[in-house]
Amino acid sequence: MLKVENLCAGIEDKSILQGLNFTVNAGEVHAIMGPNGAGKSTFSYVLGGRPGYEVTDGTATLDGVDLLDMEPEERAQAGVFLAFQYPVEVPGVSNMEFLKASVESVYAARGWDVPSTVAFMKLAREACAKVELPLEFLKRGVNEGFSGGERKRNEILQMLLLQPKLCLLDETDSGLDIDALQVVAEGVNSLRSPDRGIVIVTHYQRLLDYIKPDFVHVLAGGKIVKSGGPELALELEEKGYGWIEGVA
Amino acid sequence: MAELFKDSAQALAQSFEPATGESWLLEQRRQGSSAFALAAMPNRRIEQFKYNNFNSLLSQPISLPQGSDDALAQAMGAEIPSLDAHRLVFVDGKLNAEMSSAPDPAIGVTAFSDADESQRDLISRQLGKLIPVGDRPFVALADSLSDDGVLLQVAAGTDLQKPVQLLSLRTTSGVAAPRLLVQIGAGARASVIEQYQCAEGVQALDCAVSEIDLGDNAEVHHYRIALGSAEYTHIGTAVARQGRDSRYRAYVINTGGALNRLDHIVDVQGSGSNSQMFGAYLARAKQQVDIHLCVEHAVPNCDSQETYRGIAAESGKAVFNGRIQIHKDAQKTDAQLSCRNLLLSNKAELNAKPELEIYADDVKCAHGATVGQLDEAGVFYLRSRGLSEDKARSMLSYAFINEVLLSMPLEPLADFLRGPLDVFFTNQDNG
Amino acid sequence: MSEHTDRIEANLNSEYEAGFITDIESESLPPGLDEGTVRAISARKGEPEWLLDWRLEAFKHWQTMEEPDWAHVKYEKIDFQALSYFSAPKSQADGPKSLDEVDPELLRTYEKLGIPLHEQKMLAGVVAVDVVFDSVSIHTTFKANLAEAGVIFSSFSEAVKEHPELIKKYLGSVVPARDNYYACLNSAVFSDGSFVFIPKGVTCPMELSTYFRINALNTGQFERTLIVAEEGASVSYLEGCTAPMRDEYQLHAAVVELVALDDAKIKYSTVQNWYPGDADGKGGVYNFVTKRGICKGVNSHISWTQVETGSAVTWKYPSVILKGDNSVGEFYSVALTRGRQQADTGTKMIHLGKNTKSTIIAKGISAVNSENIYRGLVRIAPTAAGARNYTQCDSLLIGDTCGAHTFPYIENKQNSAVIEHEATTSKVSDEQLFLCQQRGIDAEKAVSMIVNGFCKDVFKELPMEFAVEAGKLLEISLEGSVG
Repeated sequence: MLKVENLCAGIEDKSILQGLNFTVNAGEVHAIMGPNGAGKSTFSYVLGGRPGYEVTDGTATLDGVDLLDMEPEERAQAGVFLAFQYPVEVPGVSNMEFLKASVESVYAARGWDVPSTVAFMKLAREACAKVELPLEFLKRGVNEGFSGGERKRNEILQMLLLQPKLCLLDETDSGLDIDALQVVAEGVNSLRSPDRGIVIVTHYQRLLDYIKPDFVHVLAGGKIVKSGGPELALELEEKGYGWIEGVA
Repeated sequence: MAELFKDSAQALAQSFEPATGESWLLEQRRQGSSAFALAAMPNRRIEQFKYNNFNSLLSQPISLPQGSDDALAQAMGAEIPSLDAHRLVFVDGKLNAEMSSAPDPAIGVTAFSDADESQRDLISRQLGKLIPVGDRPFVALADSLSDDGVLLQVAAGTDLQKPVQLLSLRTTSGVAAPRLLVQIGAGARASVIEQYQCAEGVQALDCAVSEIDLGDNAEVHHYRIALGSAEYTHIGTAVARQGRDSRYRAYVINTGGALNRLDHIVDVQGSGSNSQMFGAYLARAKQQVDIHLCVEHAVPNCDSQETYRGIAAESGKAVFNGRIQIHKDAQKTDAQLSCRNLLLSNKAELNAKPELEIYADDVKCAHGATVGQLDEAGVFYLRSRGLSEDKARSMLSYAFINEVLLSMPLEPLADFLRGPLDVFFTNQDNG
Repeated sequence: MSEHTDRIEANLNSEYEAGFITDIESESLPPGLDEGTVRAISARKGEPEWLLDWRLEAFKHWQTMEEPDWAHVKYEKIDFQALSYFSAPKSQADGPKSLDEVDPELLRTYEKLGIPLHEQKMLAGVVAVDVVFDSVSIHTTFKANLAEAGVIFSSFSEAVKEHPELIKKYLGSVVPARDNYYACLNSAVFSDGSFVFIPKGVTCPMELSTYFRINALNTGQFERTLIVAEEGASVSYLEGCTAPMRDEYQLHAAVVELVALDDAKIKYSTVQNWYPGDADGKGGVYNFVTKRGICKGVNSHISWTQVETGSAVTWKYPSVILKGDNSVGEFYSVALTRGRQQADTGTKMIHLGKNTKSTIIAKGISAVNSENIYRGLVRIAPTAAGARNYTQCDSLLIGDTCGAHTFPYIENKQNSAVIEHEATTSKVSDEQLFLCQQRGIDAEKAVSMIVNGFCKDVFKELPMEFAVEAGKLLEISLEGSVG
């Protein structure tokens, strides 16, 4: 469903991705691993459409539709969900208001029934329970004063509500203690389905103990340099990234 | 250039027929007229008008409203749903009994035009007492046109549950000068709402003057909302004087209007008092919106917090001048002013001047002012969750001033304001 | 009022150490100001026709102007006809001479002030000094060494004779003759001053410095300083000022112009210690000065640092026009007022170029019956995309009969600019003093420490020698403040 071919992209004249190829089929879970500075976050941001990143070559399509031409919100409506490494604080906008606006926009674009306020509240409460966020978090400003773990759980909460086709988790495990990690992983696992793709971008294999990937890729120097099964993650954990860069 | 305006305005005081009758506010009008005759008309060389453009107002003669359009007044959408308030409605300066609440003897409120002998006596003694006319030409003008208004008296110890609302609507051109005179007895509590609106396309001028006197240990929630249409000029002056241990909360929203200005004076005359002011001033299109706040700390052991948010979009111009003056005897004052602003377009203009004038040493005073833009990371975050760019930006702008709305204890009022604010925030052309 | 504060106040009126009068015969123009005065000054200095015309035009315009009254200061209006507009020590009437010919009385004056004119007595090669006594430049040191590097450092009068093309090009280019009341007056009657020119690519090999002193009675001092740094050049310039104690007011209305071309850097530091008047507000210097720099070229940098402890009335806003893209303007200020001093000072940062940056750090210390005002303007023009400003103004009050005020103007017309302004007011509290004393530090030392700590952010911007002098100045001002 996601097809990335020869993707070259960068920021402010600095080229970071240098011909990246990557495919995800429906139902698959992929992990992209790599050392710091390999281009992992750039890859997530380029797929999410963050302004400031310039694509110089290559394509990225979701079910045959060009993603790179779309506005960020159109990508979200098309089914791309990017869980941020550093979820942004939006003081003054309540989480509830934000989630409702988001769900309404995305559901309407997909031609789904937009839930009534009552139905939405029910959905939101269920999602809260699933990620173990107290209900009062719905009333607070988006990520305002949330701890690192609460922010990440809030990301998964949004993902549960928006039911994306492609979940892109950018370093979701960073800064999480083991309890939060389990909650996040359970949330993601509950979204595993034959018609959904999941991409986990991470530096460590820790998260992969809880979300078992079907494929593991190594991103270094702006491209995928090695692909394999789950065992590759363990190998990386043991030998470090120097080994793989040598291979590449 | 200003002569045309000034001469015509001076002539008005002679020509108009007061709704309150000829005699009993005559002295106020006389004094106002002579003060106005001496007053310098605003121009950019006068510090307090430095950032205002009065050219279009002053370039033409001014007249009194000729009649009013009651049907239009009804249709302006000024009514605040589910607000249970005692309401006095003025249309083009004249009391509209039909739109107003029925008299309620339990609430000490009356229109000047319905005042009895003792109330008239009080009004003529107190009107203008709290405001030094000095260099305020529009207060002098308002005085010269002293006529109808609202008198609210709350007896000592009374907790007035029901808010009292002055609603002023404009449907025809010309100048109106609605007054509000509030006297809160010792230990009493009240909420007062002032709301000013003008119908689209009406070239009206309001010189609104309100005076609120808080007795010892009194508490007032003062809401003041001026929503302008494109050709409306609103020049408001509001003064609150605080007695000992009193609590004054003000919530000010100024948005829209060719020129929409409020001079807000908080005169802290009683020790142990607390003052909290929240305000938002928002300008888009070619609007000029201005808040001049002046907090006078004259006595010791008081604290005040001032929280203001301003936004200038499109070709709008937003001005904030916040002055905190700590007089010699006002030791142990704690005054904190925060003024944050967004400049959303390169054609817009934002001027902020937070001032501290301090003559006492044992005080804690600070102010902070910022001017910036929306957080682009926040915009992207909202867009990545499916919100359009316009929606993301309006939501974030909204959030920027939400602090002011959330501070309002009267929820129906905050909800009502979301309507005009939504209109303000959406479909901006900031390119 | 606490006992501490009492003691601080009682001692704040410590002696003005630079207050002696030099007993020297002066040659002055008689008091009075008309076109003839302007012509006489110009003739006295043997100036070319074009400069006389420039002065006359300024004078003509000045007569149509009104003295500004917007500053938060009160003072006896100046009788411009009662002032003398030119005064020179008789022995110096023909302009600067070699040091051997300088009146020994004058040399002693500068020794007393701690300004050595004998080059061998100075820290070798660290600071070059131009000394202005009343209306004339007395002596400029290290000229030869500087000339080797291509640097011109001379009195203004000399520069008019030797480098007329440079003076013609830059005079009034930053502060136009008609700019404001005092600058306009200065343009008509300026007597002398310093001129600095750093050619392309040159880093000035030493600190440059001018020392100003008003001595003569009833004399106005109107000097002009012009500093030009060409492409890639850099210079650090220091200015010091003193005046004797006199019961009459003395007027000082100087103009300083700085021009920085591409990649140039100018650092201008002032330690101003003009006589502040006595405790009752009698006498003292009116310091009505216009200082402005233009970052004309890209990546240029102008930095003002001032330590203001003197003058009865100060009216001074060293400013930067940030015209070149990526240029940087800075203003670091400590203003200490005591007695009946009044200081209305601050800065203007005018952002015109893209990605221009300005920083303002202003510290006001107000004691006894003084008034200390920060007045600042940050203006972002529509052309200044990406402009940034950070402003921090802090006031410290000592005693409850003084005033500390902050009047910042923020004017923004650029929607990518970010402006941050913060201001705080605090006092030297009894608790702070007690804590220090409890830890074995005497109260006087504690006040000095607290004040110095309060000013730290500014002092660190001063060149080393001046930082020491500045610290000392503050200490003298607060000397014996707590028993």
